[in-house]
Amino acid sequence: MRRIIATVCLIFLGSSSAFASGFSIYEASVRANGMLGAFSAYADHASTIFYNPAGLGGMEGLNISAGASIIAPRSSFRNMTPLAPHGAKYEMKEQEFFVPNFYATYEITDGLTAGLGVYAEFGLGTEWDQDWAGRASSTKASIETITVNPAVGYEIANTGIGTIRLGAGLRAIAHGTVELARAVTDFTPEGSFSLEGDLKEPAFGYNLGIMYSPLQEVTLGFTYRSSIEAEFEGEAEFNNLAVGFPETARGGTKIEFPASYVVALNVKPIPNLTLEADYLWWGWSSYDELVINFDQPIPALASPESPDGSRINNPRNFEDSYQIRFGAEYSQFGVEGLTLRGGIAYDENPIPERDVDPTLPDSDRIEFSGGLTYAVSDHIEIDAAYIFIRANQRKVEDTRSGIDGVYNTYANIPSLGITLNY
Amino acid sequence: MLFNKHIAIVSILILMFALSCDDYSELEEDPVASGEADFSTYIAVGNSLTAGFQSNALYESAQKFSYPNLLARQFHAMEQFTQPLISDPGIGGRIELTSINPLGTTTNQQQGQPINQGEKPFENLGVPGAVLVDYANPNNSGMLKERATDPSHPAFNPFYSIVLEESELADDAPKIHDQVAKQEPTFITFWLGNNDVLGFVTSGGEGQGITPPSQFAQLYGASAQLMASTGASVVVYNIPDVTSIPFVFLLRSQLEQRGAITFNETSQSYQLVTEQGNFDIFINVDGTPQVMRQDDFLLLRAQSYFAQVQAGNVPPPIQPQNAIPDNLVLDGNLATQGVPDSELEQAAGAVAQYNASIQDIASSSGFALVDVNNIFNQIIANFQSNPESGGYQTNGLTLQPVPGSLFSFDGVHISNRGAAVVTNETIDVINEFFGAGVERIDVSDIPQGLPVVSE
Repeated sequence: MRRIIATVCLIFLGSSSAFASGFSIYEASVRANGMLGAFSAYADHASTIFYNPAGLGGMEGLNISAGASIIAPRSSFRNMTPLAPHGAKYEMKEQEFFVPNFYATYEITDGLTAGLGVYAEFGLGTEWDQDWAGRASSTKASIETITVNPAVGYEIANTGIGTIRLGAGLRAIAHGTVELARAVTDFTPEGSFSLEGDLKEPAFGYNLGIMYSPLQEVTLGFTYRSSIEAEFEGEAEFNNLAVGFPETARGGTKIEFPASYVVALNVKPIPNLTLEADYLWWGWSSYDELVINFDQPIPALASPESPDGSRINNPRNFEDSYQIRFGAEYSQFGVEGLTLRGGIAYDENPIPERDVDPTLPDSDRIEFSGGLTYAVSDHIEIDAAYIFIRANQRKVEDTRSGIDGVYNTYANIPSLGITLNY
Repeated sequence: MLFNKHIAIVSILILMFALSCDDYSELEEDPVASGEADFSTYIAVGNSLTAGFQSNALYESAQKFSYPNLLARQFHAMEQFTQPLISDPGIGGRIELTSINPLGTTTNQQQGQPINQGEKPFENLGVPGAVLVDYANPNNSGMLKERATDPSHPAFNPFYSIVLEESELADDAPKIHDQVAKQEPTFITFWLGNNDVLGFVTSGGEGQGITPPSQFAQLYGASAQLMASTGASVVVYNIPDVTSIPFVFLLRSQLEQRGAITFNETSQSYQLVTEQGNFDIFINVDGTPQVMRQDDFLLLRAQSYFAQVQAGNVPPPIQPQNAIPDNLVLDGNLATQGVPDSELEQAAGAVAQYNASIQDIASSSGFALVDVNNIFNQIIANFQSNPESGGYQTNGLTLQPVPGSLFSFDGVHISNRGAAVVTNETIDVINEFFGAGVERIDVSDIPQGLPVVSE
């Protein structure tokens, strides 16, 4: 067992960033992926630590789940700026992000279960060619995070009105990096700016949850995840910028990762069939600006807001958004040990048209999933899932970045994992 | 049994991969509404302003933001619009920034090379240095062939052979129009005539002469006839007033603002401010020292002269024998000189007559006219009434008629954003005149592209 955990930790250290609406990642469990994240009233899996820690309450024995998703987003941009021919097409560089997850729960006493989750709940990765039309806005943007989430849950079984479960956890962003790069076109020859920052210190938040089952077949769930403010610091480089810039500087930025809550309903209308519907709210309005502070004045960056140029302020103006997720699970297909899942979701993007830029060409999405679990033995189950995300074509005009055009985005997310129950 | 289940699982996974689909849509937009015009073959005729010349050089990074190129982009006709690109730092000796605070510049001695000569013929036929006679070239009067092809000719200009096809210049009496006609344009922009007076101005009246206004009118009429014969829609630009370029007006007002010189209301003269008091400034006018008055302008080129004066290397121009050299001053003393002697009056008078001719000919030929002169004059007036925040307001920017903003570092040629402003003004005229629906450019999207020295 110790060896498995050690291996998982090694995988985490090598993990990379990802891509979802805003820059959240909801693919935190292979089993939940199969139901497209409609999982906050599901309870019966170790990954409930992320989806609703109340689900820990009453979870028996020792449960371990480990898995990984590969997120493969693809975006294209068709130019409508005066910076390049009208309609010129640019492809975002193809990247695949390996996003692992790990959960373990242990029943301490009857009704009280503790657990630990490790996952990546926020991430982003976009990269464009060095000479593309929007290079002054972005050539690379990357955010990576790893959250460590210890949690406990407690079940109050006989309340007279049904079963109530409560849960709470501490969410610590324990590892994180930020990378931003773009061209500087206000000078000829053009230069470039990049910032590579690491998480300065662990950043903390929490999650809370409650589940209420008036009947055995019906569970209502609610969970809340706090926002987390994380500070990143690192080296800023100015390349090919001989006038008005230092060669390097220290730079730092703060990112407030948004709060969210989920209201969920899980119903088992007939034996072996589970249906769930989740409504998610994301507090993206907390991400209103991205400020980079430098440790020295940079004359070429002087602006009315920062006369000595030691600060760049990028307005982001994200808005709160929601997602609606539906999932289904059925386990009576005549194949012993096989459970199948499917899901569909609608994901509203948080970025107003004026603030869409190539660091995150976001758009409202429709998502589809399929998944399965196959029980190899009483203790070992293999989980697999596949998500396809189609973002609506998005035409943006009069944007703040000036990079007006049409974005098309889709993503494939296969995932594979294992669940052990003792 | 177990094996079969595995096959089932793998099959499902493969099926899900296969269901994922590719980028499904293409950008389909309505074509630009061109009204009575036809933008399908757009040819730009002009001089350095049309070529995208900036900061004393023609180079690719600036050519990309020439107003014809920006215009072609707004026509969505870019795939057909090519320009004679020259690698940075270009041909001419580019003025580059060496420091921001304090502001410093230097001239880059390196030269760029033409990079896409194989793409001839070009649609941007702007030739730096071109004069009006080059277009119609009646009676071979400007002897374009010699200036274009004979390096030993005193007025040799290398740009003609970079811009025009060799076969056109091989003609005994070549003219730019032949190149234009050969390309069967449906739409022409025509901005020639600046150099017919500008060379006189930038040399302080000492170099190239002014094309006589009557000859200008004749040449313009001949050019208009030729353009009309192509059947293309035509937009022409008039000539900005000589005092509306920073090369002419900026240095004097800068020196005034800095308190280095002052205008004495009583004596109606400009005076040098020194520790010993204020003394009249002398300028050299055709070999005769005269006191500097309201209508005498210090050309931007005199910057280094004043720096030398301040450093004590050159005696201050407060004695007749130390007068400011003629070629650094555009003199124009309205009150005391007859029109023929005053450089400013000669130039301003010529521009006014040129513009009257342009307006008449445009109107009788059915051409649209972009009144650049009026636009620039308004910008200057707005700026001079409020030097702190006046200028040209657009898209949340205030562009000032100074180098580094509307103008490039040479003080004569417009910058990237200046070109975007000219583009928008052109679009307004096109939309109005031809009933078209071309979209304006957001000027703030256009990078400044200020040339800086390389590391």
